[in-house]
Amino acid sequence: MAGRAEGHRVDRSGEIGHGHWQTSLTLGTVRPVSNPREPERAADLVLLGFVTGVLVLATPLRGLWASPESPWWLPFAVWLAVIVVAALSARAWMRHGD
Amino acid sequence: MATELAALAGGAVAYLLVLIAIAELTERGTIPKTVARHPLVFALSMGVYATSWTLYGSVGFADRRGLDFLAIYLGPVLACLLIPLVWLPLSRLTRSLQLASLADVLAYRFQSQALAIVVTLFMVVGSLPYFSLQIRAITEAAAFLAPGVPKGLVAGLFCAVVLVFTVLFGTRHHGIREPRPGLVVAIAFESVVKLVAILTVGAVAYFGVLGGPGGVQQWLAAHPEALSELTGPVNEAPWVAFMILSSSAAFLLPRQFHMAFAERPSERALVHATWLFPLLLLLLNLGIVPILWAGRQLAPGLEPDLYVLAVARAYPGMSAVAFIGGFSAASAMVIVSSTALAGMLLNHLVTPFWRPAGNVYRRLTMARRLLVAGLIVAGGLTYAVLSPTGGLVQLGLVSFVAVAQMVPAMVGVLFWSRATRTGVLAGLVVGIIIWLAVLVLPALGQPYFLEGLLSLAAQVDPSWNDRWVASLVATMLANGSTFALVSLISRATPAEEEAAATCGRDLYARSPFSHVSSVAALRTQVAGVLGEQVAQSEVEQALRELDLPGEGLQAGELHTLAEHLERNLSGLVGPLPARAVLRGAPKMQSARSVLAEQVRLLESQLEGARLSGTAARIDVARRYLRQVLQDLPAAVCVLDSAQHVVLWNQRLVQITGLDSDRCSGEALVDLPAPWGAFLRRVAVADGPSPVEHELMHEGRGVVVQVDRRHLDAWDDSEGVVLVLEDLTERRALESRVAHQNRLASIGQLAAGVAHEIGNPLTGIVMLASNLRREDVDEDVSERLGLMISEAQRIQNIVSNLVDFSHGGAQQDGVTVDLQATSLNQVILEAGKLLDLSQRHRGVLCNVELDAAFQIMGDRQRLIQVFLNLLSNACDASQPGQEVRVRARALAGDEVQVQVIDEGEGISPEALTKLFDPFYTTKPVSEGTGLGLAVVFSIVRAHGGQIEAKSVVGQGTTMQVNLPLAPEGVGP
Repeated sequence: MAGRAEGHRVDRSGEIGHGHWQTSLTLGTVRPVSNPREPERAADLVLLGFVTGVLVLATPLRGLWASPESPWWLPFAVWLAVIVVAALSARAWMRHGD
Repeated sequence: MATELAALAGGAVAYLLVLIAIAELTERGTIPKTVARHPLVFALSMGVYATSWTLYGSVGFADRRGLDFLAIYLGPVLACLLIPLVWLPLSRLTRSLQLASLADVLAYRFQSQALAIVVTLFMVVGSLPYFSLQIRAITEAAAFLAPGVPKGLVAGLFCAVVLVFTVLFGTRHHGIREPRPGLVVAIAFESVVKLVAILTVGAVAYFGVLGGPGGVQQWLAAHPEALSELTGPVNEAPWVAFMILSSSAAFLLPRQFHMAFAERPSERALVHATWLFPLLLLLLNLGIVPILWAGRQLAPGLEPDLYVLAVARAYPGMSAVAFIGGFSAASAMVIVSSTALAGMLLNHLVTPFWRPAGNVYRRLTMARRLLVAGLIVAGGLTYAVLSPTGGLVQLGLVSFVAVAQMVPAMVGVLFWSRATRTGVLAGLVVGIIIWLAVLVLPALGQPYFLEGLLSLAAQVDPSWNDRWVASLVATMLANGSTFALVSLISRATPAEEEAAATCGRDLYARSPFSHVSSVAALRTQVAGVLGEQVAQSEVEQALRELDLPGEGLQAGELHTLAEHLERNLSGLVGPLPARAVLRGAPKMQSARSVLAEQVRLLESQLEGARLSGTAARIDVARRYLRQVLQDLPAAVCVLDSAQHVVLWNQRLVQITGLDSDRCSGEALVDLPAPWGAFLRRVAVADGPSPVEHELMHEGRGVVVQVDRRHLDAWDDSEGVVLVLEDLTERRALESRVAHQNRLASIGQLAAGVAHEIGNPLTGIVMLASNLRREDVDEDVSERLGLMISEAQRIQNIVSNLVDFSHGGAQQDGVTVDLQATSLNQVILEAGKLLDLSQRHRGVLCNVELDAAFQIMGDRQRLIQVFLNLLSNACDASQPGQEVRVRARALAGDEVQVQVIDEGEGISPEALTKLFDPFYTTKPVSEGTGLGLAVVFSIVRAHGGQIEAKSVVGQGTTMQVNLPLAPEGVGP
């Protein structure tokens, strides 16, 4: 077993900007402690994005954007919308993912 | 024709030179490495997915199946939405274990060389139609732009260009362990070229040929069937089949897997690819529909795969742009695919059966180059053999269905730990057989199985009467169900179970691989298989990467080194040969024996790790619990099954005097006496627990109580927890209390006896006094005087006992009769009594009295004081040593008497308790512990002070201060 850990201390909390600072054991420096459920929430968001993509692109709902009455560029607009969803899920993951 | 041929050759060579320049500048650092690692560059390099199929074939596909061509790109979009949950864990796994291809991953997960060979061969065979697609696209494009140019010559030129670049940059480094930024940037550049080309041609078609938005509306009004032809197929069954095929191809195609995982993009780049790569695909497809309609308008009746070139040819200079775009797309595919497939072939078909001699690195690089050349030649031959009918997309889809056969196996890698190698192999073989029957044989003019399958599919569901739907359903159903059933009825080997645990995100899963005896032994072991040069180089690299010294490593560090070395060699020769190299060691031991070192190393790794999220919170909890263990008031020792120390806490350090770092990881038998042998005996004992033990430590007896618990329930490690409590002090205290209780009882008894003695003694004294007053001779009178004196002393002692039994040892409990007394006579009389008692045992008594001091005191009590002090001094001295008694006047009408001996001295601890009643340093049978307590009481009763000074080994000085008698008071 390694020697005794050094530098443990208890830090007081505060609230700075959007990060919640909680009383916690930290190592040397004070770091914002994120919500424990945030990684799970980010994963949920990614899954939600995937399900949305599947619903729009691979289920019979695709008939809504793939019809002779729709403009020819509508499928590309839907594609762009899915890309926006992908960007949002990537952003959520970058912020809170594991 | 010669001019056109020269232009083509010149263009190809120029393009090759540009690619080489970009790659070389990146490798040299002129183009910063940060560029190669930028998320945008990574997304562009992933654009190798878009080949000449996209540039030329998509238009033909759109002509036949409308917007179905989009499904080939929307499948990857769906796959990208799962990058954080599927690609990222796979990336971490491949990076951690140095797995560079799909075959590596499956070989590692299922620990099967046979599976790796099957997968490699199948991926090669499945990719060859794709190779031929690229060659065919380029030759047909060249033939369209320069009619009369021999297609074979164009094919040869194309193959030569991609071969030169691949040999230079795809196989430059040893193995596939090191990222190739030059290759990544060059492929990204090729994506930019094809993107610019297709967007330019699309803009030409939309704004030039069709006349912009207004023109398009007019064209659609003139061709009302165009939109229904475009959108109709989207709502049919093949759409979903294409989505499924393309979503699996997005990361399982050899070239995609290589760029996404083997080239080691950063996690940030991979996550950004979630939207950047779909955006790239969107832009690549934006011009396809306008090009289709423009092509129909410009060249009705032309093969639709050539519409891109036909539209481009309508505008000066645009033909070259369209051709270069196609050339770029095709060459990128062949370069990356041949690099990836050559690595798979080398790792799974060459190195397991070939041990290169001499310079191993050079020979492996040469072998890789030969394999690249062979693959490109094989692609050319496939182009020559396969039927040219059916459009470019057909060949690509054949490869897609082949790649989809890997999906069940990947489920086993990422999600299903119960999957077995037998299941994967059985499912794969069934899938391959059906794939060959229904997709490859028809391309060779043997469509019987396909026709039968389509007939069967039509009976099940009329919408399945499609080549791609039927083949996908048939292969995946057969493959997946066989894989699942056989996995359920077969058993995984221990090696598979370990690999499954590792693939299940537990990268610290214990391995049956264990430690070797030394770095030198490890080096010798690698040298035995891969040669001295490789062994030296690889071991040094692993030591450098782990920041370990070259020698003097502990067991756990050697274990980590061996594991790291195995992973590095995995990147060089493949996971299974690497495993074979390092696990054939005869000196390997059970992994359990290095648990302690693993825990320690893991903790040291975690100390320096930057953790975030849940991992950081878990680490805080870990540190907190570890600190609790370290600071427990009980001594804790945790042992693994081989009796190596896993935990040695601070209290145990205090008790044993052995440092935690010194003991952790050590075998108990190697710990110093008496602790090693003692703890080992306790750990293996079968008796009840807790048990008290007494052992000798640093010359003193130590009493410890040991409680023992087995860790049977934890991870099968069968460790032991020993909790020790030092009872030495408590037992000593209990012994003293018991002794004092005994003395107190004796005291009470003595007081009772004294009371009974008192009466007859008084009678004796009175009778003796009466007798002395009678007329007796002088001699008898003197003896009677002594008798009376001694009897009175007995009375005093008895009186003391009574005092203790009633009032304790306080001075208030001692009654003294103060009279002017000669101190010198008191001391001399005490010496005489000591002489009579024969207690000096050859010790010399030297009395130095400066003057005749008169004090106010009780003669008998004072004699008792000095007799006691002299007796103690003689007891502490050895025969021949000297006891000195000195008396001197002090300021303030006091006299000080010192009794000095040269004995063994008294410890500081004992010195503080010296005057406590019943405290004695003598053996229990020799002292009552009452003597100095009585002395103390008598001196205090005289208004004096007593003090003890002692140096262990040098002697003791007892110092008594008494008040002098006032002037004029005399005996």
